[in-house]
Amino acid sequence: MQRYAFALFAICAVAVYAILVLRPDPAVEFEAELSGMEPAEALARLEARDGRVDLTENLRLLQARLATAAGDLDAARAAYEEIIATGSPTARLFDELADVAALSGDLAAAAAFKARAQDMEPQADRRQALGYWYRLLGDEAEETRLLVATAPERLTDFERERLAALLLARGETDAYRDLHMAISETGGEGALAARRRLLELGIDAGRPDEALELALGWFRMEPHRKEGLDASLRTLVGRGALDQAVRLATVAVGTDPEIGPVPVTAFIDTGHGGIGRRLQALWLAGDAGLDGQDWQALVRVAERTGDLTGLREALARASHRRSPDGIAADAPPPATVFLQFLRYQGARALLPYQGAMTSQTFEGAPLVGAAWYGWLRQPTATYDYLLAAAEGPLTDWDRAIWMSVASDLRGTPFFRSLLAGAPRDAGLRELLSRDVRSPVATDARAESSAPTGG
Amino acid sequence: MAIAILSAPAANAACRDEGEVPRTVLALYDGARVPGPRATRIHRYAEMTLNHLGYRLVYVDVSEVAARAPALPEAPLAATLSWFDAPLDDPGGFAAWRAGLADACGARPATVVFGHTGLSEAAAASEAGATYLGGLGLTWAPGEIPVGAHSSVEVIDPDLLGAETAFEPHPGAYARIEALDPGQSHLRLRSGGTAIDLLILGPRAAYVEDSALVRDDPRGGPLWTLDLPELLERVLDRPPWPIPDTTTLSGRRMFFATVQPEGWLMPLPARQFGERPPLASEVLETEVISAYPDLPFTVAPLAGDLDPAIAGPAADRARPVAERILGLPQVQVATSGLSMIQDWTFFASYSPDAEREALASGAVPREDRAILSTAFRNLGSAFADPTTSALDIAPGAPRKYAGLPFDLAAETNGAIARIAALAPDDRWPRMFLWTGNATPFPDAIAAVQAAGAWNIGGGGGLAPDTRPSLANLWPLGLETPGGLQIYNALSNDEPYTDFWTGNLSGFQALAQTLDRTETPRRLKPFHLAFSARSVVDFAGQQSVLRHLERARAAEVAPVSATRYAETVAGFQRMRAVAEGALAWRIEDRGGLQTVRFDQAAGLALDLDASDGPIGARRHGTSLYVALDPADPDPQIVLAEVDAPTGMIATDPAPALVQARAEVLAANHDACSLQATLLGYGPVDTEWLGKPGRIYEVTLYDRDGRTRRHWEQVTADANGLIAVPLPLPPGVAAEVSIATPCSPGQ
Repeated sequence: MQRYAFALFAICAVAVYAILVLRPDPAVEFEAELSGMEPAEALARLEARDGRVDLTENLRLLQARLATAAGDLDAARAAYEEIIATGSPTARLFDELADVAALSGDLAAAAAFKARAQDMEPQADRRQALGYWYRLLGDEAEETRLLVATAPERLTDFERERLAALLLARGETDAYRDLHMAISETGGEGALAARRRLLELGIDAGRPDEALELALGWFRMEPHRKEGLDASLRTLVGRGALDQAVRLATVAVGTDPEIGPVPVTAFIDTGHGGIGRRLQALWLAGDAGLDGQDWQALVRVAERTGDLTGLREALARASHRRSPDGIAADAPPPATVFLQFLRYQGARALLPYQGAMTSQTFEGAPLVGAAWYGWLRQPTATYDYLLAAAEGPLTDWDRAIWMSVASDLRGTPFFRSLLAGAPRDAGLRELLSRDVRSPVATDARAESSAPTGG
Repeated sequence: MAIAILSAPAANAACRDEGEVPRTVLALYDGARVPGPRATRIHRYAEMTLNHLGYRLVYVDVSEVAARAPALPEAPLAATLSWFDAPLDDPGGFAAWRAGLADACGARPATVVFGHTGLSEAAAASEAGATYLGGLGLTWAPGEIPVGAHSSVEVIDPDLLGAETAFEPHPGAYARIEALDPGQSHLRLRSGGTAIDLLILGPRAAYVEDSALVRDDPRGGPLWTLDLPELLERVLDRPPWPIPDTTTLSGRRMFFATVQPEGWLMPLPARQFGERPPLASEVLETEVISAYPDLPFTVAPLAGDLDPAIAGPAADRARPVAERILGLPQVQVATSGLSMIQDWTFFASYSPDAEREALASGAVPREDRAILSTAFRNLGSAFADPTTSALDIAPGAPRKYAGLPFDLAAETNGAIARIAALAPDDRWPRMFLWTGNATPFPDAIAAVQAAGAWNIGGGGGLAPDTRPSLANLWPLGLETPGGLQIYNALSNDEPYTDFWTGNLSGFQALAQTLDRTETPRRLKPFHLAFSARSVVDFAGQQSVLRHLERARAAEVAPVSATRYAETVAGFQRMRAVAEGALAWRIEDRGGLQTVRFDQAAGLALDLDASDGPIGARRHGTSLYVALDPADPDPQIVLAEVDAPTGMIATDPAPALVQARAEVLAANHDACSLQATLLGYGPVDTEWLGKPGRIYEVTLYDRDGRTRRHWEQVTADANGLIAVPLPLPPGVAAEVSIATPCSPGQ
């Protein structure tokens, strides 16, 4: 009997102990109670309890968030600062406090809180928001410090540009250079921009050979990277470091002739036709095959300089070169090739290349077709291609050629039809209307006007 | 206001009136690069400031100006403004056209060039090009100048640059442009031994290079380097003239509220297990709209949300809520259409197959729908049958309800008729709110107008402390071939809260936007735009209520959204004709009832000499003149006198200073004023009489016979009479304020 009583007593004691130990913490109970209330009521309960009992960190945080939502920003800020003083603040908490400060109209304080969050937990979004706030505050020193503290490859393209501008504005040229050196090693468009800036920096500082060494180093690292070479050349030329640009181009073409179009185009585009033509010769001497881009470069040279040597050489080579199985080693010449011959030497100059011209050639450059068939005295085809060419757009030069070819149809129904029509090209419309008013022929070129027989 | 010109060639119209004040600016854009006025930087960044200064914009595509000269408006031209980024396809043709441009009255407009001049180097060297550039006060030499690390700023005008962010030279190749007398440089860079000018002002001309204009910062938004208002005021040679004002009515900042339908069917979070939480629209009714009978709300339910055949069973619960709300006296009935369009451009040339494909390609697997972004879930309807809302299935769907093929008539006048059936008989929906991307195609605008409704949506803007730039504010609207699209005056809570996915308390920052757009210049009215979704969260609801409390306490003139729309439409048409050095006649202003004079510290409204104004009030350095709505062509005469109230008069008849009500009509004689007022409950009013005079104030019902209120008040030492009036909410009433006349008055 005593044993039973003792066992019963022990069970009851254990039960009471369990109840006491497992009873929920009052704070947790209170939190649960608050979660079932309307937010306004929950906030009122918290505020009533505040000051009378210590609120746990969770309850204080809830109070801060509810006060923020209710628009009581002073109370919210006090609650957040209480947590910071007595608890273990997190980055997110500082973010929230920053938002409260911003809503209160204290952007400087908001930036300070956001900076603490960033220090605790660096994040791209946070850094960008903070950087913008520093800009709004006019605090370039802090904005610079924030961006410098992050590895350049982790900054966004905009942040890198912004940091560069800030460093320049502060006269920190060495840091500006170091930044671009770091970026130049990364991939993508940002690296190209950085390389341009580094070259400019060297040239502007009176050290163009230093810039050349950089450009040569990049080329040797990535000899097939056309856009990189193009950017380097155009920057050197644009900044007046012409000698250095020529040296870079010569090394590039000598190393890899297939990259020839890049320097040739760069020099032609920047107004250095003579250099472009010399490089063209170097390139063609070494290039194994011509692709579409190669033809475009050759056309560019001819178009800008009037020198058709490269095109002649390429056409002659293309007609003779075949692989062992008889397939052409080069891409077919595009229509614009023949347009250059027409422009500079007239339709007669197309005669040696009649075998290379196809119906696709004439579709691609109908003015060539018009001039060719005009030279062959085939008015129907001439007329058809003139109509196609009139769809435009045409340069002034091409319009003059068009009028010249068209004038050979004078006296035929084709010519009357051309006068009555409405070409899409506005310049042609004007020339034709002048022709109606003044039947005397214009002083267009006469290259295609001398028939030499079929 | 943007007005697009169709490119059909036509002879220029005859000059309307030699004295008409030029307030039309031709906005020149390159149609070969930009699809239309809405996409131009002029519209996005510069037009708001021009609208504020009183200028309406007419957009002209100059890409083919030589072949097809655009028709010019009848109105006299104040200026042309261009903002190209490359040479035009026909730069010579453009230069010739612009150099010879004169308006219908033969006057040559000022020239403002932002960014690229639009000319090529060759065109610049032509005679026309040289004339054009000479008019700008600059010369352009061939070649480019590199700007980089070793360039320096030699000249910089701090009054014109650094408005919102400091000017920094941007590395690159720059055109060799220099000021040419009489042009003067206000921003000069030196690079190597060469100087170039980036900001040049000449007589009635300005050139500003791109790097000195707006700097885009993707971290937080664009910032102006240029002080645009200052530049325009220098170039446009603005002596005082009556600026049509769209922010003020009865001497107070206008207030109006628009309520969009997003979230109408959305239930609030349940607090207790098993409870049936209210819908957002129910909370809208009880906690927001009904709680503020003294403020007007333009409420625009979606017709589709209220039809169970479209929205499912939730519509049965939401429909009576809509009926109750639309029946409240302070509510103006409106609609947002039938199916909640998200992408209006998609429906410009509608294809059911394209919509099916869009839904199929954008569909999220059913098991993943729980993690759809909160914003898109918000736009759907958690309570409705989940299959009825396309947004629940495919967040990028072009509209919410895709069960029926799109029909423009059903979406516009059909929806209007559906909502009208829910509203009291005397309240036809007179406003249509655009949803989604708010870029309606012209036929949609025309359909809404044909149904007898105004429209509003898109545009807006915000300017809190974290995004304070004027570049974040949009202009008044956009004229399209289908009619005028009126923009929101200010943005709703979506950008403040990242479409309810970010800081839900963020909408509190509207208060900062309101402050920033009130002083030093009143740029915008107080427009509170929100939706049913805004009240789902405690934070959002509290934000809305705080702003309503502000509207209740602030000195505003509460009006409906249509009232604002009428004002904006009036801005477009108004003409001011000078009749003397400080006298103007105002014509064709439609519903616009306030004109403003800037830098008017030493000017006052001469009530004796004027005919039509009913009062005036100063705000900052501006003078706001209130006009009698019943007078179609008032004459305004100012006097050069420093009157604190902004008005002078010899007669003791009271003049309006300010009122929390709209004046619908006014008559006065030497000693009394009778006015018809419309308010939303008891209002404060203030009038200017003669110091020490006793005035009898009587308020009648609209019939003019039933007296509601009477009192005697004495004008204070400054002649001011403060009169609170117990106006009935939403119903016009007649007020008489009179003082005994002395012989001779």
